[in-house]
Amino acid sequence: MSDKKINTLKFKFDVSAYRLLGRELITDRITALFELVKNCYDANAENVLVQFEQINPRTDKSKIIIQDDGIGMCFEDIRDKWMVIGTSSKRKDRQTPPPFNRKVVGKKGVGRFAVDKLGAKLLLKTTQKGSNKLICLETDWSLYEDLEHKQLTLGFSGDNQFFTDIENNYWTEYTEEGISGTALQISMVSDVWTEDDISRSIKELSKLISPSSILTYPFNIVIDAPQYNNYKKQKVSTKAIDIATLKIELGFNEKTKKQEILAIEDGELTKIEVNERACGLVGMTLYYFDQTAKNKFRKSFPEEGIDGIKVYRDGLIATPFAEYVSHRDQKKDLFGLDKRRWSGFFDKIGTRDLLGWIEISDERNPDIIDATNRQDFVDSKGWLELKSFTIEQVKKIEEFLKNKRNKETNKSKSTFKKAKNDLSNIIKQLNIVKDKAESPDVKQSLIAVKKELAKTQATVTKSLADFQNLEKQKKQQENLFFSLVSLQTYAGMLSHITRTSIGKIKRDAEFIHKWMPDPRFNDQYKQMGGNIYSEMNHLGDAVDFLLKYAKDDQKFEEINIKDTLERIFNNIYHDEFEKRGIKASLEINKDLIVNYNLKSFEDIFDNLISNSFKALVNNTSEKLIKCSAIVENNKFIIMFSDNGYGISEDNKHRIFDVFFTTTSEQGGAGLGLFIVKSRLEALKGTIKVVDNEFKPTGTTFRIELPFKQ
Amino acid sequence: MDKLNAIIVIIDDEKNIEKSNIALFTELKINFESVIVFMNQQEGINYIKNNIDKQRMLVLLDLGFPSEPTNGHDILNSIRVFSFLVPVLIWSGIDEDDETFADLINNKAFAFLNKNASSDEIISKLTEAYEYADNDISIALEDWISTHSDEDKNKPYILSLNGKELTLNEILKEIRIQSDIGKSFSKKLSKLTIDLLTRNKENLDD
Repeated sequence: MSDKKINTLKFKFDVSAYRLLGRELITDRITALFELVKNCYDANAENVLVQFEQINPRTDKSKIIIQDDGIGMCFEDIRDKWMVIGTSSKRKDRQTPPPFNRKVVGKKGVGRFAVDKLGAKLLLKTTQKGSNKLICLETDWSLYEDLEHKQLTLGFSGDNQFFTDIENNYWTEYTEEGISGTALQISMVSDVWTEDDISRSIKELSKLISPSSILTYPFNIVIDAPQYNNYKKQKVSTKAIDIATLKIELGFNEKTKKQEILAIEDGELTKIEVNERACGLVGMTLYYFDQTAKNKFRKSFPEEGIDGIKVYRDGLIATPFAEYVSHRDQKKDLFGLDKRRWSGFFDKIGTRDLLGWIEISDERNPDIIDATNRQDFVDSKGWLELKSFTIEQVKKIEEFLKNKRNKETNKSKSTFKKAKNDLSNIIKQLNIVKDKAESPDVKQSLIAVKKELAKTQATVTKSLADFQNLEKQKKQQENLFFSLVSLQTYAGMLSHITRTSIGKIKRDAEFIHKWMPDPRFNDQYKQMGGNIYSEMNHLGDAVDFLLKYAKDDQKFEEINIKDTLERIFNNIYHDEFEKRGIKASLEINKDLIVNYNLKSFEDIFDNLISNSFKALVNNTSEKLIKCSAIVENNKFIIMFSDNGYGISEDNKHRIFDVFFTTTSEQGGAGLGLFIVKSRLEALKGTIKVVDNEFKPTGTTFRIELPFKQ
Repeated sequence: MDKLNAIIVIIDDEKNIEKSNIALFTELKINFESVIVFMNQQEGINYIKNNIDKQRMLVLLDLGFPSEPTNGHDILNSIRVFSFLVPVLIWSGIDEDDETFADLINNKAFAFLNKNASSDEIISKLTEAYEYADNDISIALEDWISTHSDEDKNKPYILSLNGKELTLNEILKEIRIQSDIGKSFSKKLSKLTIDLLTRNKENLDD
């Protein structure tokens, strides 16, 4: 036993802490500027003036001044907040005072050290609202730096001063009452600010406030760099986007917890309300630019770019945060718009065709959390859902545009046809007139006109044929693409089968080669021979299956639906059903013959079966797949059901969308049901989800095919 | 050639795997003590868990289990919950994408074998895993313990940090299941060894 005397120790900050908090925490100076302007926003400022004085070349007179008309600080604020690292006042009061009641954006309490990134010396001048005292505080980071150097010198023997030991001068001046705000005068500027740097700053600062909330929270930023003609008192503003081809605004109803989403009705974009999604309610504004609109935009705003969708939290940008990667391809594609596979095949929209923002809030969307580096969000369920929500909306726009293009194509096609008919009518009329004409001159002229008309007619006929050919080619390309996509799915499955088989054969051969004729293994040699034979048969089947894809894709043939389904269920998938413990039944006694490409037809059922496999994986009870057919009102109706986990009500309206998937973990790319639908549409058929046949859970698809195609 | 003293534990859902892979199984039995197959994932995991302190095991794990909700990744995860020492070799017919592959690395899969690998390749990787595990501190301890009498093995030997007395056999178990005591013991033993070597109290030649 001993009498314990307890002493204490305190943490101290080494002088070098100024670097850790300032120049090393803030990655670049534009972000630093951004941080400081953001502080003005939090101080309820309405106007911020950012002045660059003599900043090219850099001299003793170079200065950056950031001045706002916010609430300012009193001496206690300076002492207890500004001078306290990591001060939590902003975390406590998450709203700025009236009239703005802005959501406070700074939380960490280190933003002010961003100054160090811009220059070594800071003179802070601030007046609190209603006061005439101007508090001035001088911080000279170069003192810290000098001291750090000294302490690092070998043989240093002075007092080891710490970060918190250094004295910063302050004094009070007097000013006119009523003018409040804070000014940061930064001198001993670290870098030259070129015209390009100023332009980039403007570009980034213009993203600070979402255009739609400007009305609620007036916040003006003016940049003044008198050395550059283009940047004398230039106002930073979010441009009203009048140029866009399409403007879409989606809202929500907080009371009923309903979210607006895009839908397509009769080929037109409409909005429908659905239940709140896992990301919480969000507002979304999207502008789509077609090529013409893009050109116009570029002309009007050479400084700006069409650069995708940004996220604003409570009216202030959350991400991409002050990002200014100058090369476009390196820009963050937050929603994965450009990364979507098969880009380009379906006339996809990418980040360069869209400009928009998503409005979230701390309250409505608590599960969407900024990653610490502010370049992304934490991979929470809410964020993942917001991503897929966004992609779904973009896909609806894509579908709408595709419909519109198809309509236009059809319109030009019929105009062509009409022109062709009109021309032959005119020629007929002309013949009658010519025969009746008495004057040889008139006759002669009419013959000439007829010749010209015949030429024009030939051109129109040829153009129409070209047009139709082009259309056919496009269809062929699309079919080829579909084949490739399903090929990719099956290639995975096949490579597994072939590798396993090859492995077995290889090891059997290896063994025989190594040990034969050692009589100890006579029984094994015999078994291996049998195994090799059966594995070779497996491989043969796999190759036959693959060969389907090598055949001419354009071949159309008479397909007997009954026979085909029997082959799929009783031959092709028989083993697979057994392996997975699935009881599959096919009930079909009517028949229908369609003229279509066999592989494309088989694709429909390959995809439906593959979906059922995924849905049945977790079934603990008996696993069932059932396919039955009936004839109803001149239609051949196929019902395809399984008793898997089913489709949730929320997803029913989008399961046929391209790239929609709920099974990405099991390798689902969201193409299966899209291919099914497209294939059936080509047969003039339809597919929809109806009440599930099996209870309690499961899925039933109703496929309708007309007798007369 | 002598058989290596380890049990090959195969977790794979292929029916009759032994019959259809007769060459591999024959080779495995020529080279290792015994081979045991589990089609059921949980039974395989339980076997490893229950025998981890009794015998040396090398696990050959299939990744794809199409009829099950969980796959080889999940099995590896479950094994790593109770031991990072048992070598697990992945054996699969599918190519993993980067993300899932990273998951295997994080869980210290010993090797990735393709389903079409030859028996020689498989045996050689398993042997490598055996030798690697042989360098493990638990194996060294096991060898050392085996030179002692049964009585000594069950004698309280070492006083652990919290004052608990442990026999040699108990220490071995703690190391194999990688408990806090086991990990801390291994760490201290390594430190002590380095200390002894650097102070020339011991040298590596003996």
